[in-house]
Amino acid sequence: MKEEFVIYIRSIGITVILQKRIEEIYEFYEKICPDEITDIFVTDYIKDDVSREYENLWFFSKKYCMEAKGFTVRDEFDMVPIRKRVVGWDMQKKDYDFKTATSKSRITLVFKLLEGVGGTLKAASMNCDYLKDIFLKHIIQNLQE
Amino acid sequence: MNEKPQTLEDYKKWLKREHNVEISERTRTRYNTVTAVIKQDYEKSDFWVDVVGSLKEYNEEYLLNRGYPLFMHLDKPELKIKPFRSFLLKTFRKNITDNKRYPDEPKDGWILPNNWFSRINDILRTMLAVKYLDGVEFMRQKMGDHCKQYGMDFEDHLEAREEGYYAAHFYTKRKFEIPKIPWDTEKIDFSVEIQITTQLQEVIRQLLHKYYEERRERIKERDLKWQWDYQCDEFCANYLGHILHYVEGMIMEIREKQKEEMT
Repeated sequence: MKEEFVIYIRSIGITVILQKRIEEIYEFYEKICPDEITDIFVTDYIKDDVSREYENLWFFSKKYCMEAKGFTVRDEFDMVPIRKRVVGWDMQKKDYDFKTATSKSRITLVFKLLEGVGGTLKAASMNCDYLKDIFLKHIIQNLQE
Repeated sequence: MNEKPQTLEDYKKWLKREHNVEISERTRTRYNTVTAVIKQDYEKSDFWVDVVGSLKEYNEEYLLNRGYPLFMHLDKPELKIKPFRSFLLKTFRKNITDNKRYPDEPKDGWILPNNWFSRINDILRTMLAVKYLDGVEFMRQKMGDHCKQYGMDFEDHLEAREEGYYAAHFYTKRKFEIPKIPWDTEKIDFSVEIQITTQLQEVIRQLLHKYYEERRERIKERDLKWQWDYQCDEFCANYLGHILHYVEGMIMEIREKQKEEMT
């Protein structure tokens, strides 16, 4: 797996055990994705006891986005073309100025693609900065005119 | 216009029209996410770990007292999540087809996304199959003792349906922390269903599973009652359930007579 991906997943507190699981999923997508996987994102939220829960694992290439839903507990994968296919998005954010995330920052981004499919990307704390990058690079850049 | 929905597709339109609830891929994904979180939480809980760990002990206790094993095998019971479609169908039945007050809300109110995880009590379920009929009551009491030990609320009852279904249904009730739609979490009341039935009932349940699924989707009742329609699937399937229950009762009687003779 790419070094920057490893840096990212470690930066959001993912352990070595879960990292192995992510590597397996990455290898799966790497084999089937026709172009290079350029970005990774893990949706997360914070529980009442301040522990972090990871929900879905996303990979992005120039042409596709791939999601492993509930990747910590199940095998449910999908992949859809994204290039110039984003027809709309909706973002809710809290305690985030779109510059630097704090521990209180939260974002939920919902985007829609042609044919009605889409995705939900959720981020808490420092992960908001990564979601901002994904938003600018893969959602905004692929908005259909 | 307030036509009673007849199909699942009609029901989805009704939800949108009457309650502004859209059933989409996002709804299914959220259902899968929430239920996976709850399943994981429950599986790791001290309560469940203790229940699974105690099955061998129960088997031995029953064997010592009654001379027969309680279980056919001691595999770990698998917690299963109700598929989203079956779940949605259940809300359809409760809101529409079984709702005698329709078009008004059912007695306990509409079952909608804001309460449906708490209102449907078999989203997460498992089954314990015992060898003999009296094992059902034995396990039911053991589960009750477990709940009391962990201070967990529970509810249980013995099911005996017209359709030949016999089992004890045991519901453990507690709060679970689940992800909210935008962010953070909320705590909801949630029941986990533990069905306690006999091995023979389980065998027939597996055989008839497809038939029961089809039946649940059927809205209109037949003109001729299944009890009189000897050519319909229900006739054979349902009476087989009743006969098996009777046979299991007879087995118990023979077992008890043998025990009396030996003492």
